[in-house]
Amino acid sequence: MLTFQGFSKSYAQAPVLEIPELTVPAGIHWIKGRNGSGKTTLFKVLAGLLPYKGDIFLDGRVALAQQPVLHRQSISFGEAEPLYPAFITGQELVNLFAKARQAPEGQAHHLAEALGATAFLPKATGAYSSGMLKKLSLVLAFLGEPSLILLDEPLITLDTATVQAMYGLIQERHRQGTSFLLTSHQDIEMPDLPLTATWLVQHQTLSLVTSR
Amino acid sequence: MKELDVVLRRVVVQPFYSQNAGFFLVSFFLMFGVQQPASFLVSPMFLSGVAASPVFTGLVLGVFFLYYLKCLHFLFKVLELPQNEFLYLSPLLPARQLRLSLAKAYMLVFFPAVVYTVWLAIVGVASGNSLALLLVLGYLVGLCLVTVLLVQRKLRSYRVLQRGKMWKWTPALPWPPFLWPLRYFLHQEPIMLLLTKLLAVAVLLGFLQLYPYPGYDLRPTQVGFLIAVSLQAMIVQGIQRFEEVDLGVPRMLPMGMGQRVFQKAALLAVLLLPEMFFLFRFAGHWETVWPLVQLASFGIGYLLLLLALLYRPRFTPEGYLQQVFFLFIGLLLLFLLAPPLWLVAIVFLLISFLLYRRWYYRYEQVLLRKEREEES
Repeated sequence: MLTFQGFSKSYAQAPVLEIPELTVPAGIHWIKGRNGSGKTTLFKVLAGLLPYKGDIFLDGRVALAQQPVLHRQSISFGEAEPLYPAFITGQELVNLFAKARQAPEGQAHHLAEALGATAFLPKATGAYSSGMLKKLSLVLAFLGEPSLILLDEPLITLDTATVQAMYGLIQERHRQGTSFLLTSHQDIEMPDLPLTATWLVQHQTLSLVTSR
Repeated sequence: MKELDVVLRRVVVQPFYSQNAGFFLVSFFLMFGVQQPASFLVSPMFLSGVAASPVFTGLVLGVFFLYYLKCLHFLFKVLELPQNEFLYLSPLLPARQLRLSLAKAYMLVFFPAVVYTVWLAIVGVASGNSLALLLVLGYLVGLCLVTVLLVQRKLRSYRVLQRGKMWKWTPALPWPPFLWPLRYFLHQEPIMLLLTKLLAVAVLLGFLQLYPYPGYDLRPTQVGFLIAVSLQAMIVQGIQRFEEVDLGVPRMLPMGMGQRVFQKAALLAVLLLPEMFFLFRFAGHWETVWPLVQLASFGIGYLLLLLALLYRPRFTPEGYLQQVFFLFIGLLLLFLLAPPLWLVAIVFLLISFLLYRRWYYRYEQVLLRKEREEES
């Protein structure tokens, strides 16, 4: 699914991540790592939010740096601690994402229902709690038909029912061929998901820990 | 208190000057650019005339009081930002040192006014009008004391802005996403938007009234429009800040570069609607329609270029200010040569597009912050 070739990411000459050669197969992957190890940086790079050096290919056909539009069509990202302008409603963001990602008819409604976000979407995000913001970010991340969905700390601030609903959505989309990269500190919850592999971000690189 | 000085300089002083680049550009131009040397607003001849009359001195100090209110508003707004929450600790510092640090920060923000009024006092003393010196000293010391007391009181009863409480019942109007930055200004920075637009329109109207077409050719109108557009540099910075920091999501969306640039151009066209209205209202004749359309297109291209420059790798606010300044001076000279405006407009739109395309995906907010930290 993801192929790294000579990849490196640094901040002001200070290297954060270096992955010379690596292939991450399709499936559901759990990325572990200590605070500050570079997990979020890796996700932001993959989401197209940060520039990098080297090459990353998705499914062997999308060169992320050279095809920015296709890149963003194929990968979506749910942030760990999402924050949106206080005056914009969740529904407006959903509409924007659904249009830009060419989401199928009714998908936004289905996602909002599944994650229990329907009631508050018409309100301005400034009135949301952190859990509501997280639900909104998940709805946005699942919109469209991306090949890969990145979820950074998807479990934090969510109630138990929503966590189960999210696991259900991940499994549903996985069956349809979507891959997932997840980061989480709460490893005890992960048995609920059919993980393909577990990876560790450590010593400025990504390495395989276990695979099924 | 060196530590607090450094923090206040970064939190208050630097953002103030970078966010008010357009304002200072126009002020500089008004002081040195539009009159004969003898009547420059900084010339001893002009200032000795002002110092000779307490009423005129009071008038000048009154104008600077408006600037003072702008500074104070900025100071309070910055202190209320959630990211500056840590400043609630400052009242724990020794009161005398805290006051001194606040006074220094205030003086740095108010520095242009301090320089001008002190220069006025010096010219006043040299021309035998010592009253001006007393008025200026009393004015500066008084404002400094009042500001320090107000800020100290603000810090003592520190309250971060309650995010979103006021938007709970805001009706959701159908705003197209490309206009969201404008919506941000209307909600979050209405005073700044209003003052900037009022100043821009006032400058443009001033030129249109002083050098009306067809009594004069269109060059003064073009210069007036250039100044009015330059004033929007502050708004352009706000647009970029909103997109990259507050909203953050557009970068994640699968949109082509043409679509991104077109949306920005459309937003900037909407932003310039008031200036365009007055341009056509007061200089619009059948023979000027095409030149004015070219001028309006140039305005959009110019603002688009200012926006693109914000994505330059290794961007610094100081460097940006210099670029805007030299660009403005260059355009001013160019306009005096009466170039074909359609060509200037096309060149600006094209350069903006190319720069935006080149830099947009290489832009990195985090890198900038880290680099600055390293430099410091």
